[in-house]
Amino acid sequence: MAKILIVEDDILIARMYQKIFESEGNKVFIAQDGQAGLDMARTLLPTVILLDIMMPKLNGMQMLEELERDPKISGIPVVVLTNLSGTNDAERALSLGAIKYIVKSEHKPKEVYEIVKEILIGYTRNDIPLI
Amino acid sequence: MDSSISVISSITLLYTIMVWILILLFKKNSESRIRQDVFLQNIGDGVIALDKKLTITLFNKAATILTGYSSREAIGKPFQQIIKLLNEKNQSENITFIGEPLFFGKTSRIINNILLITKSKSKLPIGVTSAPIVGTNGNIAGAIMVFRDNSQERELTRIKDEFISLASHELRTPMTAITGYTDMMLEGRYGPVTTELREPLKYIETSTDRLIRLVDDLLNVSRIETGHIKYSLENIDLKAIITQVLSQLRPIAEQKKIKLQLKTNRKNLVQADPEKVEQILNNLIGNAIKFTDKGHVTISFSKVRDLGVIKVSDTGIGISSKDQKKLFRKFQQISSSAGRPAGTGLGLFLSRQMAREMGGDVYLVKSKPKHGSIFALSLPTGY
Repeated sequence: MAKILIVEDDILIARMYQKIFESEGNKVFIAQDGQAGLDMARTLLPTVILLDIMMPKLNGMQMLEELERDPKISGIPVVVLTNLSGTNDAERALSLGAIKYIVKSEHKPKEVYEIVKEILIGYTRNDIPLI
Repeated sequence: MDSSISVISSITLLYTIMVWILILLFKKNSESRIRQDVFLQNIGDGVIALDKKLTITLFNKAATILTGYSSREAIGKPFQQIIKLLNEKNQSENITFIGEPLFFGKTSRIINNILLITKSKSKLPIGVTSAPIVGTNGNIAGAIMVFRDNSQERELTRIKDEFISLASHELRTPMTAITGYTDMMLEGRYGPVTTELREPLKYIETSTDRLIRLVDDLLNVSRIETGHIKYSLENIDLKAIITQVLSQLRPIAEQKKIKLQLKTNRKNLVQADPEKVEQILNNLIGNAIKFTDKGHVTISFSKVRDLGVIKVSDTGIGISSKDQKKLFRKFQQISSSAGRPAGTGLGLFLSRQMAREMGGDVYLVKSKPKHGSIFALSLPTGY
């Protein structure tokens, strides 16, 4: 069972992904802004973070920068899950350490789950312990 | 004696009249000249005139405001010394627009992507129209140029793009929730779904997907028009992309009992952005299926000089010659006997723009009502 942290200000979207990941046997936590996401990442040490970009307090890009600065949590894989579809946004997120950039409207929840599952398989095989 | 006095008087009168006529003509001429000067000086756009040797002969007030040079600094100087234009796209200096009027007597117009480097080295987006000055003998005496400051238009475009980007993000979020929840309900993740409910849920999902596509297309048009789409060109195998697109569209074709055929069995390499090619092919093959009620859709590949050409032919409703003219315009949809087809009317416009940015094109090869159409996508082979 993986521990998933969803950082998403739109609660309907957050619950939608929570449903799919929980129904596949994972433990899901939700943070509704970047600051709360950062705090929860430090205390929960999730297996993966699903991160939105446009959020109050600390946006997704800022949160990526903060994650990168803290060695305790910098190794947690981050999948950006946003509706910003610009190439520049994707490039910036990836340069800040995100391992995947997914445009929400282009993928059904099940597809998002499959992508994250593949990433987790790759990661857990190497260095991220399953919690 | 009397007669000689009378002749002298007549000649004097004639001269006086001529002088008066000349004075009047001169006055009229100088008045119109002054009037022209006042017009040119006070016109809101920068007006600059050159003689054939490219020396500035006129430099109005607006031109001084735009460039930062006074008319005293500019008049009599070589044009290139005062006016420096930069092509915004490739950062090259652009003086070709003077050649057109000066050497070929043609009017040239550059509206977009031109920057004027001012005296203080700042860059100002402008539009330029240049026309030849033709003398009474019919020879080109110089050129006259009108410079328009485009900063305001540029700012408006930026605000519009920002709005479209924000609006599309805000619209996508609730649509993602609608389509996502519907999909999960159809999967039975919220409990069993009755057969009666399955159909309307499918309708909700299809309609929302359509809305998302519309928003995406609008955003893409805005990005294309402002040059904000990036292309990562690489050597790609078209066969692999076509196979992928066909596998995505096969369920729709099967539902309509349309046969999908791929007439190529070797690698077809081109240099292009794979994502954009997939988008274009999705549009072309998707259209072919949409407008075909029976028969087949065939995809073939050929090499024409340094271009790889994919042809998508169908046995569908075809396009009338009147509609063919509108095909690649924005928001144009071809009506059919079966009613207005679902779509945004942006697909072919976007496909063509993207193909052209990659050095290729999208075009209609031929079409005949009730017999079908052939569309083609060409892309550089790059070797």
